[in-house]
Amino acid sequence: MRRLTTRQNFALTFTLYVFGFLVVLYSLFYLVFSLMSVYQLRQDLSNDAKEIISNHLLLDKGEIIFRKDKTGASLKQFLLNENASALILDAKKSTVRSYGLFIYDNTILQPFINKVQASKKPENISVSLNKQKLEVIVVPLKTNGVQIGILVLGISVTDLYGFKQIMIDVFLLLGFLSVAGSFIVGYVLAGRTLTPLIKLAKVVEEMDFDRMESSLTVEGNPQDELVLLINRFNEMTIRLKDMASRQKEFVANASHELKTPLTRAITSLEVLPSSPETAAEIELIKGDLFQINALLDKLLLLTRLKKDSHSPNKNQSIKINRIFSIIKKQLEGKLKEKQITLTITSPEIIKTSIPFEYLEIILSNFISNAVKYSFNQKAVRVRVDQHQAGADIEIVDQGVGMTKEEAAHMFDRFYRGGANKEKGYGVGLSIVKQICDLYNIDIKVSSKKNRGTSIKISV
Amino acid sequence: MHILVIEDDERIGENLKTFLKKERFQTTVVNNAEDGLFQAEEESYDVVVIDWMLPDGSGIDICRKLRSKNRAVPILMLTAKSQTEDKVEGLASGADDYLTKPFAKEELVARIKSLIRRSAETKGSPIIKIGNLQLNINTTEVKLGNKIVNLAPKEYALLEYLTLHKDKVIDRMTLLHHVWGDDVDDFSNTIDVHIRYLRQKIAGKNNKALIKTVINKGYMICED
Ligand SMILES: Nc1ncnc2c1ncn2[C@@H]1O[C@H](COP(=O)(O)OP(=O)(O)OP(=O)(O)O)[C@@H](O)[C@H]1O
Ligand SMILES: [Mg+2]
Repeated sequence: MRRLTTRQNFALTFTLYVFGFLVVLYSLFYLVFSLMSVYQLRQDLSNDAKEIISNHLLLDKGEIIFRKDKTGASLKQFLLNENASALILDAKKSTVRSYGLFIYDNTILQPFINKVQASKKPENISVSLNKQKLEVIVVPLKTNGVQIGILVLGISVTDLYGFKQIMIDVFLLLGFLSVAGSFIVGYVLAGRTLTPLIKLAKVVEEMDFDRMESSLTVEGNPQDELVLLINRFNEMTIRLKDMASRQKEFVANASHELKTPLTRAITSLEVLPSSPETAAEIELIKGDLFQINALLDKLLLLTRLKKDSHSPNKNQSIKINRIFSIIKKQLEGKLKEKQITLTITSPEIIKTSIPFEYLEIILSNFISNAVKYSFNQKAVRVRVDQHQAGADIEIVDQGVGMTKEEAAHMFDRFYRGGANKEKGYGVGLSIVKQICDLYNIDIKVSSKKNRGTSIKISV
Repeated sequence: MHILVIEDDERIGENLKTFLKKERFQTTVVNNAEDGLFQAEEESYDVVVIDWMLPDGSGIDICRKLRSKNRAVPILMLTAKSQTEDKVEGLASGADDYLTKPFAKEELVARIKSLIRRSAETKGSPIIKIGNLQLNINTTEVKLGNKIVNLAPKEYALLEYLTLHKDKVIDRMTLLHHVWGDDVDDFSNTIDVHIRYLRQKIAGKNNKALIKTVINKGYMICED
């Protein structure tokens, strides 16, 4: 099962609460309504019974005599008006008269009649008769303390049940609507509550220790958990920023400090009186020192890379052929050694937004990698096409190539492909990546193990 | 050619002096910004090489101060920083070129020579011609017509300085400073001796002297 997001969880919980609340509320309402209506009904029934006894019956003669009331309405009419059924029994419990539903069947009433006969007290009951629900009152008819009969009066409550059914239907509909509504509301609310968290996630995602100045601000109760979290987060970013900048400063300073002894060593080597035996050795040492220097430069670059504020010029012209001649010179030895032909097809000048130095770093890394990881006696091809929006550059080699796994990591700092026999530190491409990120340059890599690699960029 | 090197690291300074000397440059090395600024203002140098970071100030400040006093001497900045922004700042402050540390000797020499060429209005070409005299300041080859002339190091340096400042009268003190640096006594007649040798080796058309003596002032090289 897919796991729910916090937001969905929030919304669901909210919905559940709303639903539960609704159920409780409605049950209470329903209960109260039912009780009230039954109470009301019984009140009505006993009033009606009293009215019948005083207006339609004459009991003082020791027997049951029927009469019309003051308006001239008979008992039958009265009962019709009230939509009631009635049964009148004499002292021996034999039926004197029956009205409405009680005409056909009154066996169900017998136990109650017996009970009232014995107790001489009115009794309220609910019965089902002829598929109708009835609220019934059984009243003893007395005169001077002598029981001379029994009046059974019933009112159909089927209408009431119908009303209750409608209430349930309404409840179901309302319930459904409220569940749906509360889910939506809950979702929105959860979203709003979670906004700071989402912002937080975005900030973390975009976190770049150079540009962490955008700390989060949330308004609210300082005791609020989210506010607390964000404040802690802000404090943490400040500390991290501090740490990162100190680390960078350290690397920068260290690299910088190392340049002086390096220069000292190199210049000393150069003034060393050399004999034919030592000359070659000295050159080797010098080469090593320059290699150390190159690595220091890369480290320095990694720590200090930032958008060149001095060239806001979006569309400057760059003499790309100068870059290529620098690169060719750098790779001269390697090309000869591996018998690789480097063919470059390019206009002399391209228009681009990236500064010369950075383009040089990018191209020199890609091309030197291509040569480095190419098989011997193969060709490395570089193509530059200028178009309206910029220039497309493609570097293709036929070499060891990379697996998917290797290609996925090639831009990681200090990453070096598996079984890499070539010299290197794995920083070249991470610098390239940083520059490309800075200038929103997309790098497309397609590589096949033992076949070769093709790199495409648009600058 | 006399070069002022302002570099706080003594060993680097000494090393620079040693190999610049091998390239026939007179070199004065000072180790701090104050002395450097003083030297650059007081004496005339052909190139000033300044380290970016000095114990008592930055190379950039020296640069600015010199430029604000209208000193046009070519300045080469030595920097341990290799970032573009630093280069831009260095060049904006009035340096003519920069070189990042560490550097190869050849690179430094090439930069210095190119600065000298540029400042001597040779339009960047390493070859200077005066009449049928031809001097390549990169290879230090001197030709008279098609004939190669062999010169002693000091003779060459003297000739180079004069040709780079052709048509201008150069006094003895200046020549001493630029060609011999500090290792010669001001009152010797070294210059006159060397000029005599030079004149013998390079005579102009019709054996006319290319190097002229301007009485009480100094020497000058010019065509005709
Ligand atoms: N053209 C290529 N063909 C095959 N593998 C490559 C290619 N370019 C890069 N890689 C792989 O990606 C890794 C990282 O490249 P990167 O240039 O960052 O480091 P490096 O070349 O090993 O060292 P350096 O820091 O000296 O450049 C390499 O070690 C290599 O395994
Ligand atoms: Mg590489």
